[in-house]
Parts: sequence; C-alpha cells; structure tokens
Amino acid sequence: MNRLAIILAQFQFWPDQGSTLAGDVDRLFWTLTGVCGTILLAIAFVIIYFLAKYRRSNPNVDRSLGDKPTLPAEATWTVIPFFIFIGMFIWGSIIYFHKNQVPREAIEIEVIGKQWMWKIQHPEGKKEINELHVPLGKTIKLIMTSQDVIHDFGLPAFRVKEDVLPGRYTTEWFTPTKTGVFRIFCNQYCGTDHANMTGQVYVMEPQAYAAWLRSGMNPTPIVQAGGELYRSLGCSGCHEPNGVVRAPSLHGLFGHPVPLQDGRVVIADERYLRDCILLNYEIPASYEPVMPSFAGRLSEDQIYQLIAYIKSLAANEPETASVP
Amino acid sequence: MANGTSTIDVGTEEFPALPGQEKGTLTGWIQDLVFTVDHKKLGLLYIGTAWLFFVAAGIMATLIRLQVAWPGNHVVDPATFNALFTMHGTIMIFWVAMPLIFGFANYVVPLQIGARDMAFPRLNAFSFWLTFFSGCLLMFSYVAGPSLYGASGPPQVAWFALAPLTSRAFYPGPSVDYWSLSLLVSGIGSVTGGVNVMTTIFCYRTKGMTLYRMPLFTWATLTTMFLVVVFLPPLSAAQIMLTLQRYAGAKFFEPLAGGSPILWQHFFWIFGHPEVYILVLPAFGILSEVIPVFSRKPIFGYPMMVAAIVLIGFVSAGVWAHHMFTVGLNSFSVTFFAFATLVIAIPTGLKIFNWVGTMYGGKIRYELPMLFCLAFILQFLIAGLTGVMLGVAPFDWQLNDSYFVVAHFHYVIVGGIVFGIFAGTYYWYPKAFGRMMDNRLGLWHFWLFLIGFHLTFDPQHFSGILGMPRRIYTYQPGRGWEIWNLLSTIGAFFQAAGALLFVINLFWSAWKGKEAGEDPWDAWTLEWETTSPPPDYNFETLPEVRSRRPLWDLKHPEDPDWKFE
Amino acid sequence: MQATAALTVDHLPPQPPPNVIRFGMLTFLASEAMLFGGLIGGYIVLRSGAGPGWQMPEALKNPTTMAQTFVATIMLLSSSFTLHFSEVRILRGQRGGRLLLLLTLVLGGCFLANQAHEWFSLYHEGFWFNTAGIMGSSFFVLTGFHGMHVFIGALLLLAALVRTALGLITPERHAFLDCSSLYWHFVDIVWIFLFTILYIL
Repeated sequence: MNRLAIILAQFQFWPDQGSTLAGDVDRLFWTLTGVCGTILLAIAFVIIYFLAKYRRSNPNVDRSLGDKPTLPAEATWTVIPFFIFIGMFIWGSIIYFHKNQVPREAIEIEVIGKQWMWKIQHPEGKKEINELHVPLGKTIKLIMTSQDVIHDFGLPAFRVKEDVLPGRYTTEWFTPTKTGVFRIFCNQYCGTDHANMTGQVYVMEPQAYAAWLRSGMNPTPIVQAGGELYRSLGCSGCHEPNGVVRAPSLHGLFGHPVPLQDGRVVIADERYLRDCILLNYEIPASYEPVMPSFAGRLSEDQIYQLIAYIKSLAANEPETASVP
Repeated sequence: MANGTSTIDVGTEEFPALPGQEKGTLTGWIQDLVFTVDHKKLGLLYIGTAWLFFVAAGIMATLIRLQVAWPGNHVVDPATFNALFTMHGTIMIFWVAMPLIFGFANYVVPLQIGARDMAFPRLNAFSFWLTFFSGCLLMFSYVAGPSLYGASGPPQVAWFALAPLTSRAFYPGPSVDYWSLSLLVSGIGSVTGGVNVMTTIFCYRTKGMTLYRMPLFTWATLTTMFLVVVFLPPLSAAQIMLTLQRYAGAKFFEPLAGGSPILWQHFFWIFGHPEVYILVLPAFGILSEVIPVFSRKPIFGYPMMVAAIVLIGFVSAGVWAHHMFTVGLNSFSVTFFAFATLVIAIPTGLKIFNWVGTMYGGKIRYELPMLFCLAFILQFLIAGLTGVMLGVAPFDWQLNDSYFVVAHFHYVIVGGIVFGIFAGTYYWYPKAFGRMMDNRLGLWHFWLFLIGFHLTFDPQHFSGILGMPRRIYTYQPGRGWEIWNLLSTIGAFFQAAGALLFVINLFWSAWKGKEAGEDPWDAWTLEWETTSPPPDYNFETLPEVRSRRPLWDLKHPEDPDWKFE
Repeated sequence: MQATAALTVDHLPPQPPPNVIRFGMLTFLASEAMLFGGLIGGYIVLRSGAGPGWQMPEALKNPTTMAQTFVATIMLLSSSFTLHFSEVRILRGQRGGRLLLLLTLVLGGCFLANQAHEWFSLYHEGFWFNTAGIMGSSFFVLTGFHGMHVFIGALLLLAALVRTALGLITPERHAFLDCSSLYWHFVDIVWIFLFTILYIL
C-alpha cells in the first residue's frame, strides 16, 4: 500500500521543457494530437451512430441508401486527409531543418559512448563520466562517437536524441533554458547493461559553470593536447611549411572545400579529417598519397584532440598562425 | 491463364493408405498430420503452430512486464531479460504472425477461389515444416550447450539485431547464430510458401473468377505474398552476410574495417517495414470479408479497396528509413521517407472509411467476428495516427526507441493484426470444424482481451513521452514512469486470461460446439458453398462464378449480382 | 466441369500443368533476383562509401585474368544458347538435343573451373574473405554465391540429361527441363551484372 502511495505521488504526464527546441516540438505535438484526436473521435462517433441506427433489430430505418456511386465519397476522404497530412509534413519539416542548423556560436563537447557508460570531455579539458555540466543559455553542440556498438544519446527534456555510432561522428545540439538536473538515457539497445547506461545533465548558471570548470585538477585543454599529439606523432614534420615531405597545410583548412584527386570537392569537416587520419584515401588534388594510416594507433580521445587542434588552426588566419 | 486451368481432373486412381497408417488410431492420426499435403490440414497445422509459439512468446511477454512492473524489481537478471525481449519479438513476428498469415492463406484462399488444393501441395508441406522446425531451432537455443567459441544461450541482440552488436567480439558463442540461421530457414519456408500461394491464386481460380471478382481476402493475401517473395530475400542476404562476418572473417558491418553498421539497418528495414504490411494486409482482408457479411451489404467501393491494397503494397517498399531517423541520415533522405510515410496513411485511411461506409445503410449483426472487427477499426486508427505522428521527423528525436514506439507497434500488431486474426478465427472456425465457437466464452475473451489490451498499451504511450527507453530491464524510481508501468503489467494479465479463454474455446467448441452447417453466417463467398468441414477435394463440382458474390446469386436467383456487373 | 473425384482416400495430388509450374518457377526466380539484388545493393553501398579507397588487388586486374574471365563469361553466355537449342530439339523430339545439353554442361563446368582457379590464385596472393577489408568480403560473397547457383544449375541440368536419357522428359512432359533451363538462364543474367560491377567498373 505504501508503495502504491509513493507511485501515485510520482504521477507525471509530461516531461520537463528544458531547451529552446522543446516549445516548438511540443506545439507541433499538441496540434497533431488535437488533429488526430478529432479525426479519431469523429470516426468513432460515426461508427457508433451507424451501429446503433443500422442494427438489425431496428426496423424503422431507411436502408435503400446503399446503392449510390461510391467514388465521390471516396475522393472526399482521400483528398481531405491528404491535405491534412501534407500540412503536418511541411510543419514537421520546418522544425526539422531548424534543428539541423547548428548555431555558429556553440560550445563543442566531446561524447564517447562505450558499453555501458558515457565519457564526456569539455574543450577546457575537464573530463566527466555519465555527467554533463553545461551553462544556461549557451548553445551546446555534442560531437559524439562510440568505441564499440551503437548507442543513442537521448535527452528527453531537451527533445533531442541521436544515435552514437562507431567509426563516425554524429552531432546534436540544444540550448538549455532552465537550470536543474535532467536525465540522459541510452536509447539504442547496446547489450547487457543497456538499462544502466544513464546519466545526468546539470544545467548551471554561467558563473557557476566557469567555477566548476576551474575546480579540481587542472587538465590540459583539448586543443593543447591535440597540439602536443600533432608534434609527437610527427604530423608537424610534413604538414608545416618547412616540412620534409610536401603535404597540404592544415592552417585554415577546417570548414573549407578541398578539391580531391578524383575530381570531387568535399568540405573539410570532422568526418573528412577523421577519415584522412584513419583511412587516408581522400587525397587532395596535387598531393601524393604518402601519409601513413593511423588506424589502431590512436584512441577515440586522441583522434578527437587532433581534430580539435586542426579546427583551432582554422580559427586563426593562416598567415599569423603559429604552432603554440 | 485465369480460366484455362479451372477444370482439373483430380484423378480417379485410388492411392493406398501409407504403410502403417490406419484410420482412427492415434498413430494413424499423427502420421496423417506429418505426411499430409492437403491445404486445409496444413493450414490448420500452421495456425496450430502459431498458437503454440504464441503461448511461449506470451509467457515471455508476461515475464518482461513483471520485471519492469515497478522500479528496481528483480524477477530475472539482465541477460535473461534481454534474451526474453529478443525471443518475444522474433517469435511473435516470425513464428506467430507469419504462420497465422500463411495458415489463413492456406485454409481459406483455395476455398475462396474454388480450387481443389494449392498449386504445389508437396511444396506447401515443405514450407510448413521449414517454418515449424526453424522455430524449434530458435527455441533450442535455450537448452543448447556451448560451442567451440563460447557459451551458448538464447540470443540477446533485440529483434533487429543491430550491427556491430552481433559481432563475435560481443557474443562469441552461437547464440546469435541460432537467431540468424533460424530466420534464414524460416525465410526460405516463407518464400516458397509465398510462391505457392501466388501461383495458386493466379492459375487455379475457378471458371468465371476473374481478378476483378476475387474476394478481398484473396486480394490482400495475393499482395502480401508478393511482398513476402520480394522483400524477404534482402533479409536472407543480410543473414548470409552476418554469418560470413561471424565465421569467415568478412567485414560488411565492421566500421573499423570500412564496413558500415548502417548497411545492416538498411537491409533489415527494407525487409522490416514491408513486413508490417505483410502482416496487416491479410487482417484488412479479413475485415473486408467480415464487415459486409455482418452488415448484410456488399463492400463499399470494391475497386478502390483493391486499389488501396495494391497501392499500400507498393508504397510500403519506400518507407523503411523512417525507422532510422536518428542514425544521422542526410536531410534529403529524412524528408523523402517522412513524406512516403505520410502518403501510405492515405490508402489505409481510405480502407477505414470504406468499412464505415459498408456499415452505412446496413443491417448490422453483433456477432463475435464483427465485434473484433469494430475494435480493430478503432485501434488500428489510433495506431495509424500515432504512426503518422512518429513519421513527422521532429517527434522522432523525442519518441524514437522509447516506449511510445513500443505502444505504437503493439497497437498495430496486437490491436490490429491479432484482433483481425481473432475475427477471422471466429468467422471461419465453423467452416473448419463444422461447429460454432462458444458465444459466451467468446464474449468473455473479447472483453477481457480488449480491456487487457488497452490497460497494457495505452499507458506505454505516456511512459514513452516521459522518455522511458525501450529494452531496459530496470529503472530508478522518481522518473514518473511507475504508475504507467504498473498499469501496463496488470493489463498483461488480463490479456493472458483472455487468450487462455480463447484457447479453451478452440478445444471446447470442437468437441461440444453447436453444429454449424454449411453456411452459418449466410455469407457470399465460395468457401461457404461446400460442407463444413470441406471434403479433401473441397468441391464435388468446381463451381462457376458470375459475380463477386457467387452465393448471393445462388440464393437469390431473382436478383443476382451479375445483372449489375 | 464434371470432375471425377476420388471421394474416399487421401490421394496424392496430380502433377500441375507445365504452365503452372513455370509460373511458380518465375515467381521463385523473382525472389532469387531480390536476393542477388540485396547483395549487389550492399556491394554498391559499401563501394561508394569507400570512394577511391576501393582498390581491387592486382591479381584481378592483370590482363591474363581479365582475358580468362572474359572467355569464361562468353562460355557461360553461350551455354544459354546451347541450352535453348537443346530444349527446342528435345521438345520437338528431334535428334541432337541431348548432345547440346551435354555441351551446355561442359561450358558451365569450364566456367566453374575458371572460378575455382581464380579463387585459388587470389588466395595465394593473400586476398581472401578476411583480408583486404570489405573488398575481399564483397568479392567472395558475390562470386561465391553466384558460383553456388551455377553449381546447383549444373546439377539440375545433369538431372535433366539423365531424365531425358531415361525417357522421363518427353515433348509432352517437360516441366523439369523447363524449370532447370529457366534457372540456368537466370544465373547467366546475374553473371552479366556481376561481371560488370566486379571486373569492368
């Protein structure tokens, strides 16, 4: 009985709205529920009405109506739902494309999923496990990958969810609108302890966030760690202007188009850099494919650090950039 | 080809009974079942197999519900739980729903088109036994010993077995192989069965039964079998690739060697989404038979009903990626598949409206088959509307892989397909056994199952909206899911009680049911022309058909349908 | 319309007429086509995903191998013609049908022998299922699956040859030969696709 009382006290019907996206999605949801509910009730009403009116035991009813041509009626109930659904589709697509455009000014946080935990690292180098601290009102962009199987980083209160795949980066973003603790779930079945692959998001005031970042040990910022890797792995030996082998300069590379040997032009994004480091087949035009593959030699963390470093090179102007 | 082969000489030779087979003894009866090539017996074998596995998978479902009834509950351990939902899903789809579809197709279709048997009776038996033994193979994983590579056990990879979780790195023992090989074998059985039914429908219709006069159940079955023949092979291809990956070192789904885990998902859902329509189209067909008969009116808009069935069949090929909105597809794909998903709702809606139109101006009898059909319409409508909502891409980030999806597809499969199958069972049972199913037990079954169904699956919509992920074996208190899960578990027991009454009714009525006679429902399709149960050769004289309602013509010579065609 | 039914016993069903069997076979081949379609589709997806990193081994690209495979392809394709003429002759009851059937089998056997030789030499070059990433996997699953089909087709034709010799296939009763030859033609057509995507493109 006691347990029942606790259960009833926990009654909840709708999740928190924790991000700027939540309002949009919820409005769409309620409208769709309203439209669908109306359709449902209307049809249910008609069925019940017919059931009562045309029951076999009811003799006083005109049953000679059955032989009318059916096509006009069918056309009506094909065309009207069609337009309703098209309306839903367009509205949904608008929100979808809005969600797909990540705002430029975003804090990029690395998320690595592995059976059965989340490893998270902030750009300042602070690491956490199964917890994610973010500042209120800032746009957060999560760059996610997996070390083993497919996971899914779901944040119901923020209305975002994206699969986390091995061997590639996926992203999701949100802008928290209120402070508090929200839940992380792994939504894609990932093995025995899938149920316990959970965590918390702590949304903090920006000052508190800054204080939190400074607390504890003083870690190396990701870009700096990437720079150290860049030199210790010998990347700088070729990719810097006075290198021994002619290799493309990485300054100002990120986010810009790269013409490839086979004639295609790709944007140098996280995927491209990752593939260049590990698989090394998308050779830029006029360069020789001499770079060794680093597959198996780098952890996911290190790959991410290198990419973050290459990104930081793009932020500076190529002329003034110097290796820190 | 339609009419040319309708006069089939069934042969005048008398074949001797098989050695050791004597009529009336238990061994004779068993041998008869094992060696039979008769489409009616095979149909009943299919359906019997399906209910057998239904009981097994239903017990699994009850255990799953018990485990998550409240937070921190401990009925089974996580590995067992993961195996339970994997087996529950796989068995319910491949060894309950599919054999039911094939069973009804086997039993009803040759009777409806006025044929003496299926086109390839022995192939038919082959298909059935493949289906049966592949199911046994999967169940065998519960008792199998370890292999050279590791411990065995039931598969724990969920019914769509996402790569790379299926790699040897994660499950070195043969558990995944039981899953993959049993699906491969059952796939062969289904494809040969589909070939057989399609050939039967195309080549063995009786004289005058043009495609345009075919009963809607036969039309639905034809489309379903087309989908089986066309969309099961990609799944088989994927299973072959998976097995090669596990044992020959192939790398198809291995991301670190250049393979693609997404490729597996494409393969699976190219099969997986048409599969939904493979299952639901015959249920549509059953409704299109039952509702006119119990409304005493021909179906509203037969041509459009046929067009809708065929259209659903075709469009179902182009919606699979809506199961994959969260894997990071490009925006063109997402928009395309979201659109196709909404488009497929339109012919489905048309069917619902036409059923309602059939009731309009009718003379409605509230018999059991009709009750199940009415519940079907409303539940399927809800399922369709939540499906449309899920098809709108932004919702997917909120609801994909949550309990909302669980609720949605159980509405489709239980609220839709299972209710349709129940309607079909109550409708055709008198034909198969010559006795009516008990009405009072049937009503208890109907109400218990209806209440249980809603109690189980309605709350799951809410726990899903609150973010409860699928396939978790436990959860912390304080997330607002408690009340919904508790209700859901209670509902599962109502369903189990209803299903139990149904099974009792099946046996009881075969023994003590009221005599049915040839045509208890005063129906119009050919299967009601012959005796109940029909003789081995179905029809003493192959009937000739002049309209869509041959028995109406027979009963009302003064006002036959063919005058209006 | 009056069918003379055997009313008493569990009779074995009569053999369906040839056009029905042929229809069933065609439906079955449609599903086989989807099976190969699935494998080929997977190959195309993996290959386009890998971009220019997709390099087949030298052993496959040298002129000798290409020439050998080309000759084998020609043999397989011409076996379809010999089979067709053999069928025509057998159905008309003319002479030479069996000889042509035997020739078809020999051509198919040569094709299989060449495939086996190629696999063998690739294995010795170190190109196998589990090496060379997804290239090896895709190449061997496609050619292996097709080779298995050729082998089954050859067994069917062999059975057809034996049945012809025993007089079980006659101008009146030829469903078995029909189906075997449909299967053989299907396997040939699949090879045209495979040859194009695996060797030429």
